Amino acid sequence: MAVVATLIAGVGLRAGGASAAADAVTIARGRYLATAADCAGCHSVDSGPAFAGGVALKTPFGTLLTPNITPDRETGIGAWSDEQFYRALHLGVGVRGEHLYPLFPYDSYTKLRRDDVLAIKAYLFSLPAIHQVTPPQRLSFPFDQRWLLGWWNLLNFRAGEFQPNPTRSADWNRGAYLVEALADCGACHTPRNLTLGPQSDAQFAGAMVGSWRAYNITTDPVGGIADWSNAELTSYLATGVAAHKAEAVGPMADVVEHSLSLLPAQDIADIVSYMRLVPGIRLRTQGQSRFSWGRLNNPVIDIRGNENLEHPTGRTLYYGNCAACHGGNGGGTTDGAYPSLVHNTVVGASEANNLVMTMLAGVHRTVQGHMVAMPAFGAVLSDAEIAALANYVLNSYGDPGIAHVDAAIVAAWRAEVQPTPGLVTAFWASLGAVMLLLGVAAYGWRRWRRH
Amino acid sequence: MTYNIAVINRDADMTSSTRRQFLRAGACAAGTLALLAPGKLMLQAVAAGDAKPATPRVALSRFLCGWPNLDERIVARAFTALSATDGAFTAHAEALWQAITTAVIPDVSAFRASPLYAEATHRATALALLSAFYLGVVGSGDTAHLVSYEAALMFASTQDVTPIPSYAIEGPGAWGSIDHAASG
Amino acid sequence: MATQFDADVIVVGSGVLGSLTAHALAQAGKSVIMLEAGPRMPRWQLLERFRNVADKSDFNRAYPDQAWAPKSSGGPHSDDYLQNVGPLDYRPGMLKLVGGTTWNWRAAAWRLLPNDMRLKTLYGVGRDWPIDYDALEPWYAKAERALGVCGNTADDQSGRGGAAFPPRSQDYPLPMLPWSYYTRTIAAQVEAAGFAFCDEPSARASQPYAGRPACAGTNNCTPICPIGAQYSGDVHATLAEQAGAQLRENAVAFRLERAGAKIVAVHYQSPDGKPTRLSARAFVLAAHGIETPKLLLLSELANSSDQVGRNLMDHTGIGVTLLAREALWPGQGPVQQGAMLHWRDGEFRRRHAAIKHALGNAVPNRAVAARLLAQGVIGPELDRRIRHDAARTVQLATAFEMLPEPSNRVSLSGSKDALGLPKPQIHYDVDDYVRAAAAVARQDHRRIAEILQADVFDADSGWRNGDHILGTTIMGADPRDSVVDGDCRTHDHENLFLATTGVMPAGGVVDPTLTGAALALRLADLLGRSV
Repeated sequence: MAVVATLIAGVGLRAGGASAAADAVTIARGRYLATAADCAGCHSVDSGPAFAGGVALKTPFGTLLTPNITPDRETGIGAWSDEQFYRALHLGVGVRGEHLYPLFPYDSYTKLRRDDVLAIKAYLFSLPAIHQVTPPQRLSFPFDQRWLLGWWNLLNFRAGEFQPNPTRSADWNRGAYLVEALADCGACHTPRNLTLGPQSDAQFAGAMVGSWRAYNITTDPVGGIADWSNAELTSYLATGVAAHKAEAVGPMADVVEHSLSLLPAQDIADIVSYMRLVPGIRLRTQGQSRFSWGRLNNPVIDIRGNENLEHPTGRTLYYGNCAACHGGNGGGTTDGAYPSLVHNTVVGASEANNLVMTMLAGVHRTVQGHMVAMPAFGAVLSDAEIAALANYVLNSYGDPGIAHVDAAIVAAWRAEVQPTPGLVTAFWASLGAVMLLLGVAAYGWRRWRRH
Repeated sequence: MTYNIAVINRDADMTSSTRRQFLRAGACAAGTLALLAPGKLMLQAVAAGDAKPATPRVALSRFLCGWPNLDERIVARAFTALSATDGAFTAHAEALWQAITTAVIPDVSAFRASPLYAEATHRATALALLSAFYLGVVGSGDTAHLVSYEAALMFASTQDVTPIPSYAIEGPGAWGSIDHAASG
Repeated sequence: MATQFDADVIVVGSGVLGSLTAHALAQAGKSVIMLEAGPRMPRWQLLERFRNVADKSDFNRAYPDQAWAPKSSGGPHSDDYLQNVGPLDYRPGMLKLVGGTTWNWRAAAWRLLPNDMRLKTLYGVGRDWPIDYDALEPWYAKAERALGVCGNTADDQSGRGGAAFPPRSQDYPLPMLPWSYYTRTIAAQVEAAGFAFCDEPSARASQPYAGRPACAGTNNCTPICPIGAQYSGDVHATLAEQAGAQLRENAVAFRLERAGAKIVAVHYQSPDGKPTRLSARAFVLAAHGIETPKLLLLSELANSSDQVGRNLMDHTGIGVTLLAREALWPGQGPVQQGAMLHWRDGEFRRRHAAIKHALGNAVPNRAVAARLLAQGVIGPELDRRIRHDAARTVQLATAFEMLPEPSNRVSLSGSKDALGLPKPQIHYDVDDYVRAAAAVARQDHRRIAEILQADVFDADSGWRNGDHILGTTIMGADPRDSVVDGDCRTHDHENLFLATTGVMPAGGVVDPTLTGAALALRLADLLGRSV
């Protein structure tokens, strides 16, 4: 990968058009682009063959299984032409002319240049063909009606390759291509509108990913990352760690491990250049930044010999489960290998999701061969115990104002319960309203035509 | 003797200053501290002392340990445990403190060199109390009393190098890169 | 006519060997019930119990002490459970809770040497195993994977400083943990003087493994790993349940019932004495080396050889504490990292026992402080001396191989426990084979002290338990002088197997858990295909 990175420093135009003949350089570029776009993140099951699909993605409308994109002719994309592949990424259209579900982020990939798209195809076609059937999508009515996605596209989608902005630097433009066309940070970090399209006026202002929260990464000084140094941002993206401040957990840990940590240093620098110019937005009331909360504390004299282990408090659970690594006082280890919970961007967030999810699921992140792991306490602690523990951590090291986690919400987060039917109803209602309006307009038009 | 509290990040009662500032202070302080008092590094468990005048038992405990901030709750636990096994202990402790203050003995080193320490009861009292604070336990077996664990003073003088068992001090495998050959 | 059974297989004991067996059988599609005498306890609670316990000199004390399932020590119900009637007070580590005694161990995970299994043939002492190393080797490899063992594949573990030995079909699944300065320095110095020093393979995650985090060096392996980097039997107890095995805790098995030569049921009591009978096609006793023979004796089973309970062996040993000239700083990393193996194998085994000197790496502050206070040291000098002496403390734990003696035995005492069952009675002594080795070992200790320019601090530790219970249900080819065959099947009862280190007819001089695990996986495989 280092060799590839040297060959293909950064994102730039390639001389020569895409061609059907796959040469080594094109394939290498395609592998690089597929890494930046983290295709494997959705199309590869962890323990399974590469790109054979079958990953289950939960949405409010049901669960979608990702397709097989290996060059198998029957069950994968082996029979696809260059044009068909390009239309899939550029327009979100499948080989039978059907709309693809926008969970596949064609609204980002539309920005990819044609020769880049075909380089990705060349890379995929260089891989082993895996015969693995993707079961047909099983969303409930009406969301199984793909033609409705035409409306989604109308509301949310503008096709078109990336156009460099001549008023911005070359670094920024490369960063924009990486962020908007490839890595698609907005897929997680941009809040969704009622149709689950991205809110264009709230780019990167923070959104939910299952039970996890993808934080506000705009330049807002309190809600976002304006106060992070370039070194911290660079380190975080490239390794998953900004020392003594932040650690990538949950889905972001996967992104770092499978995509960002494998990109050349110039790419990370370009992403940072781009993010520095994103307008600052703060959607939620947030009095102080995520990394400004907490103090070391010292409860051990109170608890030592005084605990009720049959009915433990959050503090007792902290000592039994967490203190060995994170310190009795919450300070972690000096080298930061076990992070401090004080001034910690997950502990100090304005909602408790990621803290609880990290406790439940643990942390698993391997970067440059270095494995970082925190156990999954969801396997050994009940919802009530997790709630008590979370509240102790929030009261001691985070925002006490949100220290009211209960067992019910832990259970819901554990199950990655999707947003309630309210959203679904709103979507259907708004769609119905649009159709009604168009119906009325069509009727009015006919009547006008008759006269 | 002064104690610099800003040595290790595991200190108690840090305010909202950033860890980085704290660790920088620690790096400077460590060198000074090593010269002054290699044994007097801060425990993670010992609270900052308060300004109230101490009772005789607290004063005696702090005097013997050489630790002006020794937590009163630990002192209380030690005295409860020692009195449970020896009904005369409290009286002996108060007599010892009385003797120390009367003789105006300035610190525990002077006490050790003084005739008071040669007196059997005073010596036994002092050692019983110190044992409680250093080992964290009074007695043995099923009837032993816990005084402290993490706050046990037996760990205080080595906690920059070795862990209080069951607590990590660095990340996985970090001990593999440590070389003590330079230090003594 | 088909008989209704409560399960295909009932496993008595949920420690590492019982849980490995139950898990393998459940994965093979068998219905399994596990019976555990003790309760189920989460790790966090055991950890806080340890931190809260006042007298930490006996690590067993951190564990729950229950009247219906006594431990080997560490509580009012447990302290007089084992009734020693011999010259030595034999009190090996034994816990009763889901996951068993490996909650509290140092995770040493050695293989036997091929020669360890041929003592009689090669050296004219003790007994041969009825199977050889090659038969066990593939199961060692599986056991290392199951327990997550880290080690140095290139080591010559026979102590001769040669090529990798014993033979292995697979590398260790995890790389060895880095040595601390203490271990590196001592290893280099003793090696230069001719004592072969070897890394101790251990069931410890040196990097994240199967959901366990990597070792953080909290130096608390015994009594309990705070984070689960070190393997403990609850890992496979949980996996067995996830694979479909049913685990009943607080269920004290007290009798096996037979019809003819077949075992048909096990009877167990709950803490309030209420009895339950469960039937199965086959039974595996995995109740460790004392309770397994006790259950057989209570049931009057499997004992046509009169060897049940006899031939009790351990790795009884001696210890020494040295005070080195230079600061070495024991206490960084896990509590034990390596051993001197120059007496592991050789012709000398005709005359005296094999010897292993394990280098202890525990934080020594408690013993150091207690000693200084006993000397009346107080004030700043106390802190200075604690730091000075703790940095220079070197601990050696020396183990000896024992030979099977029928008079070293577990039998039924006349005293009864809280459930009305006889307590185990133990007669135990060491013989001249061990005493001769102890004299050699003490010479080694003096030599090592010279090498490290150390004062010998505490030379007279007396005999110490090794916590390795061997021989009490001894394996052999001849039913007249052994309890189980090479497959761990009892000679007398075709459907009764024993998954315990008590089957081992010779233990070498290494901790037996990995060998027990290999035997358990092997018998589970056999049983899974035949039951």
